[in-house]
Amino acid sequence: MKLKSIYLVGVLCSLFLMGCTDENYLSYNKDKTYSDQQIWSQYSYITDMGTEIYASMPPAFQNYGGGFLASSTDDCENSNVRNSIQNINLGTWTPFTNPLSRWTTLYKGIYNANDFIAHADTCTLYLEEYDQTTKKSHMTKLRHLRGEARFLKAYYYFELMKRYGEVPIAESWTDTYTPADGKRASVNQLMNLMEEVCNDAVELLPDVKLGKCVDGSMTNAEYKNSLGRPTIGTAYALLSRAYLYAASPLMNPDGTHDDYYLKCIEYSSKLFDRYALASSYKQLFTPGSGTMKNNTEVILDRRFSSSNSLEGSNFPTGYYGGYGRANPTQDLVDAYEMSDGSDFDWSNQEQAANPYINRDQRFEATILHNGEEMAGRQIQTWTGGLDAASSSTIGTRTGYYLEKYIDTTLDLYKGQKSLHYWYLFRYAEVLLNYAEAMNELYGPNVDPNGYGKTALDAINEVRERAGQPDLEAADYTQETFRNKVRHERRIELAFENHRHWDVRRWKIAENTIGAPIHGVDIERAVTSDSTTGEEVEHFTYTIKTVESRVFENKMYLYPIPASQLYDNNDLVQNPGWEYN
Amino acid sequence: MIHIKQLFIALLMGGTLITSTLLAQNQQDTSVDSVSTNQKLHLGFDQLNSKKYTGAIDLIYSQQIDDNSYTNSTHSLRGKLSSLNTLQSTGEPGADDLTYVIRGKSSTSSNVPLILVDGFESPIQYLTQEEIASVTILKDAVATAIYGVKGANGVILVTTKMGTTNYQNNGKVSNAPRITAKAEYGMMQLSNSIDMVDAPTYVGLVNEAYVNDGFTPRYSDTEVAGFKSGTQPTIYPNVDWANEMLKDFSSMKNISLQADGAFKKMRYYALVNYADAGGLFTHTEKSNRYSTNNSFQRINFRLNTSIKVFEHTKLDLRIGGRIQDDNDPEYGTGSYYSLLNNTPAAHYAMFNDNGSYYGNNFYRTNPLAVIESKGYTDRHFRAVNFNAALTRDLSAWVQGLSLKGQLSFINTFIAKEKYTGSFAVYAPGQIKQYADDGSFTWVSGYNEYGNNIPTKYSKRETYQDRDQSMRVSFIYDRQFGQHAWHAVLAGERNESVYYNNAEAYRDQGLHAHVNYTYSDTYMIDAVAAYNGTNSYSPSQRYGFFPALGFGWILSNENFMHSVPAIDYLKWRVSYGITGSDALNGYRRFMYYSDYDSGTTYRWGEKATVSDTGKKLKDVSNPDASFEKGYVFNTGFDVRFLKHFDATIDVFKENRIDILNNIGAVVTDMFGVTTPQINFGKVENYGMDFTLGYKNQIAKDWQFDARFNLGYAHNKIKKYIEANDAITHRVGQSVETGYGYLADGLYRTAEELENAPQNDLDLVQLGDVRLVDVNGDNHIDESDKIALCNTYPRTHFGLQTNLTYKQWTLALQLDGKAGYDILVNNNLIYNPLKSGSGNISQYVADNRWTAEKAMTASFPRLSYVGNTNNTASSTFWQKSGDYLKIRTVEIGYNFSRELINKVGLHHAKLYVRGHNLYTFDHLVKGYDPEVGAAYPLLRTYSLGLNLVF
Repeated sequence: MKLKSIYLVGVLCSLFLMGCTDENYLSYNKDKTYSDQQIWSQYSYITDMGTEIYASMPPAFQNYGGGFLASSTDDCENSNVRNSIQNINLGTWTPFTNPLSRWTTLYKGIYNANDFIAHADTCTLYLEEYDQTTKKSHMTKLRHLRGEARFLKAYYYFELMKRYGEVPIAESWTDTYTPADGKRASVNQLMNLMEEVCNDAVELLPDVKLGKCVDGSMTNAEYKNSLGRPTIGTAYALLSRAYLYAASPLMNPDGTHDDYYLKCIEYSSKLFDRYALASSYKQLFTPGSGTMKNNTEVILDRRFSSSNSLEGSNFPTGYYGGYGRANPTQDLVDAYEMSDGSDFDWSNQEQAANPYINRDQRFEATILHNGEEMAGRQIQTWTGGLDAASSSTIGTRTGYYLEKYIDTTLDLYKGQKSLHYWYLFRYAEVLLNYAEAMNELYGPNVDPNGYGKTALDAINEVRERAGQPDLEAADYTQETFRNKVRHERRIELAFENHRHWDVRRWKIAENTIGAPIHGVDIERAVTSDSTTGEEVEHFTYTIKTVESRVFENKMYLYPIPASQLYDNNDLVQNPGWEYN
Repeated sequence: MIHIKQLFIALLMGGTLITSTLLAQNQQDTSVDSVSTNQKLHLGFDQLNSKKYTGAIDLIYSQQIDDNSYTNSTHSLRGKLSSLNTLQSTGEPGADDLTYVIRGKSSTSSNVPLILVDGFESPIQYLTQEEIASVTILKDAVATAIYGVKGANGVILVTTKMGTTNYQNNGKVSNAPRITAKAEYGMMQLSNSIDMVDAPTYVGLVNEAYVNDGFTPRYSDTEVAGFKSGTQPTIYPNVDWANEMLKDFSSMKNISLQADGAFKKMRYYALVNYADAGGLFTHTEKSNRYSTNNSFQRINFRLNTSIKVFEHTKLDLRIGGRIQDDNDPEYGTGSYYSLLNNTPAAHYAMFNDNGSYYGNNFYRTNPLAVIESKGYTDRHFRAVNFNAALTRDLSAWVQGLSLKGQLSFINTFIAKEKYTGSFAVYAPGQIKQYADDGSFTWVSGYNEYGNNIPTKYSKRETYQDRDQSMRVSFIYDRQFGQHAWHAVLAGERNESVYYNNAEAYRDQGLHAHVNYTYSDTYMIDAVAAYNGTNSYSPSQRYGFFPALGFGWILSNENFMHSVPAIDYLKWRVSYGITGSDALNGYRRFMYYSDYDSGTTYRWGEKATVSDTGKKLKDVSNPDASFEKGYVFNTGFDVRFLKHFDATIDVFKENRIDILNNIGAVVTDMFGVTTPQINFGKVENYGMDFTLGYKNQIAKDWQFDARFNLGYAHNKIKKYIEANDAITHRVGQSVETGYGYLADGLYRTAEELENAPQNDLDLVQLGDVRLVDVNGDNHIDESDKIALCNTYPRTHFGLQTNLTYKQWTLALQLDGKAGYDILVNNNLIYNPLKSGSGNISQYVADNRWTAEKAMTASFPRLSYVGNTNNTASSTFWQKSGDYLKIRTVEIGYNFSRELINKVGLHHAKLYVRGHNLYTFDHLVKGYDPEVGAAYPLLRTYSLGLNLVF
């Protein structure tokens, strides 16, 4: 009995002592987390880190409730009047609420890219377990990734610049998480950075010409699997675009940097032998048609697994599952030329009676209009028709629906899906960049440095593919040609997220995206043909104002998010966006 | 379901068998006691006479806890303890646990108190109220410092019942068990509801909203006439969904059997309890195989024994458990209730003419179809709590010393079985008719939206959590003449493993308490803990938490004898440090950096090559540590005028080192989430007050009452925020609401004309008139200000019992005051929201229209919504103060002469009502406790208590 008690007491006391002396009890099992060293030596982790840089890529279809960025321009209206994009259209956006703000995401992408470049440039890959071929392929892949990181970093700086103008270059950080230099960098500094980084990328990225990898760094199969990743051509395309923006009136108000146009021309010209226009504009934007997989025109795109959410958002509301979000405006519809190259005119009786025939082919490829065949019936946007507006948040507000990018053959009732690709850079844009820059520097039909094309040649290349007649040099001065380039850009690149920026950099926003947008009311009358007795539909079109838009001078640049200016004397708000 | 009832019967029989074989007899009523009488306090680590203790506590006993018909024991404490504020977010059965806050909010991070059952961490809601013997709340530093890093938010100690020696009527010790049986049957109804408008009104209001928004009316004249006439209900529906889909009443049952007693070397307590409740939805029995209603059935059991195993050795074993099966509609009970209110009467008929569910492309959530055909979720919950203590008296070695070893083990298991189905709705229209060759023609018919899939088993999810703890303590109790010493030194380890977190939550440390009392009049408590948790780095995880308390029973002094009105008076004062290690959702182990999965991106010809990125989770902070609270408290315990007793405490706490995100002052250009650092400071002061009264007020009349009130006022003193941010938290209370200042509505054209430019939305007559606070002639975010405190500073409760002969009348009230609510329920502040919303009759009656421009109390209607109107502003700020008649009970005690003949010692029949009435300042349908969520249930019950 006594012994037992002592035994008991002994056990309890030793437990007791353990209570707060044994540090192991509270120690944490480190194997459950990754260390920096683990991450930067394993091939698959490094590629994962590289993938994360892509997280800041521009959104494609999925934003703005399926209504496209175009619905913040004079090309389109979002049928959902409560969509956040309306804050832009009605002028109720502020440094506090900007539905289009990308400040945080883009800088995060730059941070990730810098982090990746710093580690991946110097890392020692652990490749013992792989065979020779895999080792080689992994080493090449890593080289490409280092190039991709550089391209993406330059791309993100450009995306910042086009929104906010001069932005800080955030390349190194103090211990208190503040940038070593938090002041805004000039456009020149930004362009120098982008050019330098892109040229670094060119050294590392694969070279692709006319749909084939020509530097031997990838097999054909590897190349197919890498579609959607930047190549040397992509880096040049970015510089072509970036220099055009930097040279345009918004960033270059007094013309001191017209040399940027030359840079644009040079980088554009590097793509002349690498890319060529696809044969059909319509096919290019028809999902699932096969031509989107790999063609000679696409320079960089975002690829998505099979889906039908875009169709759900954009099918006319009379079709199963359709919400008809993106509604092209009458203004855009009217901008399409007649197929003979002349302008459309409502005062022309013949054209006004049948406004949708004999138009630029790109009209049919871009816009779904009343009477167009779709899935075995005609689209009915006439008052009372199956596809007319059914409520303020569903159905078209302009009388039109979107066709570009949409697979009109899908039956959503059966849940059919299609592959969708979103073009970030394509050759037609490069030609238009080139045409614009050439015209600004030298005029419409001069090629003093022998790049092989004049501005006119470049624009006609684009027009020919669309079946539009060539422009004649004799008809244009630098001034009038400028307008023609702008017009061509609007038509060719409609719904590809260009106009929102183009009207800003040209400084013509007040009269374009600031002007009221229009739609059409269509009245249908049915009469029977006096001879055959068949019923004949007659439509009358009445143009209506859909919405008055607000554009103020300050809106040429986005406001820097208010929270980014708190306690930061280095950073100054864009003019007009200050508050008390 | 059936097996639960069978199990209950088996347990009941087993329980009866066990208790009747255990020898022995009668009851002894413990009267309502207070801190100021001689109570043995259960302090978690030790037990001490209440008169000797200098800590601030609240204490209630079984009679004050088991006085209601709730089947959720967390509700039993509401309004009964001066320091305890209770918060309820929904009345939905199964989700209606109250959360507790002690002495207001002292932290911008977690304010969750530590809850212990029989000395170890365990939730109250696994217990039934019947098995709780007492609840003690530890409030000040001298009481909570012993819990060290886990004590700062206060501690709730729950003690389960243990049998005591029973006495027969003649005063002789009885060996028979006392058996207490209780049976209750109740009817439950929703205590609150919102009247929604009917279809003709709805379409009229929608048209008005359309016109207000500048559109042409949504419904044509034909349609409006159609809704008005109501003769074509499948074209122009008019369904009062709440009325169709909700029953008036459902029922609940609560049956329990308790046995307790003692004989020579053993004391024991046993409980078996069965409870069930049915749901309030209709159309839930479409299949005879299952129900989609919300309901539960539950059994609780407990067996507590205390056995003297050897002469100097005592073994306490406490085993409790719960088995519960819940049923819910797959859609969710709360969500479905909300769907009923949010579905406009005009959107759906229940059926089409052909009997199919009514709906169309845009309206696919027919509430009838949802409840009938979307399936249900079965939830099986099991909890077992095992608690053993072995105490060895070591007086043979050192007089007064004993050693105690304790183990606790809790296991909870949840299996969720989902049985899901889906349904299609049908709309008449043109449909495609396919021919054999795949071509089609358009014909008249019904378009099908959705898929008809019969309800069938879809998945089973299981969750298992466990907690295990052990503790060894030396306890010393000895009196040397006038000098009484009490001391405890304990070492403890706790571990909790949750199903979703591989890494256990662990803590360990040493805890000490010394009490010295001189002459039963002067006393000192010295308390300290040295403990830590594994959430922080090795150098930051341990803390030392000392506290000192002093007490003086003035009524023992001669000079007080001249004040006969005062029977007892004790003054207490204490100061000390406590800690809180709660992470409040922040990343655990923030002292390590870690990598996380990121975004998936696709490449390749057919977009089949995909990779998911990896990224740094956030920057690590190796210095992160727990919060520290510096708490001062002083108070009095007093009994006076024979029938009164009162306790009053005032306190002040400075909570420092609260984790704040440094991100508020770091630019977003820094691409990784920045860490939490110990920076914040909150000051919290207030008082708690309890007043009791008990008296035989006349012959045959007995009256007792307890009133309690708690007040706490907090202010943030330090917080990481940018100096030039628009609004600041420093200087505000923890739960401050932010928004705009509003000056009614734009009622006249002149007001509108002079309005500042509005950057929130376009404004027109009838919109909320926000004030341009900073005078820049723009209404934007820079006009936001701190509006009001949204957390109740004061809460109070009153419990009274009146007895006349055999009759009893009990009344319980509780309420809160000193705060505002920023009403943000769509049905009230954003009716008709984006075409999916409904509108209540109340809002319809009070909305702005041109005719009522000067008197309207709600903004003009908008179909698309208006950010200006729905912005948080003083327009939507309402006082949250309320008083609720929580419980009224009328009872009848059968006379002893009558019941003794049938072997009963006590028999009581009662009717009881809960949640009977609310006095408040809010719109009908909006409850100060749960808002517009599933309302509290009003219960009327009939019960019988028998003691054998």
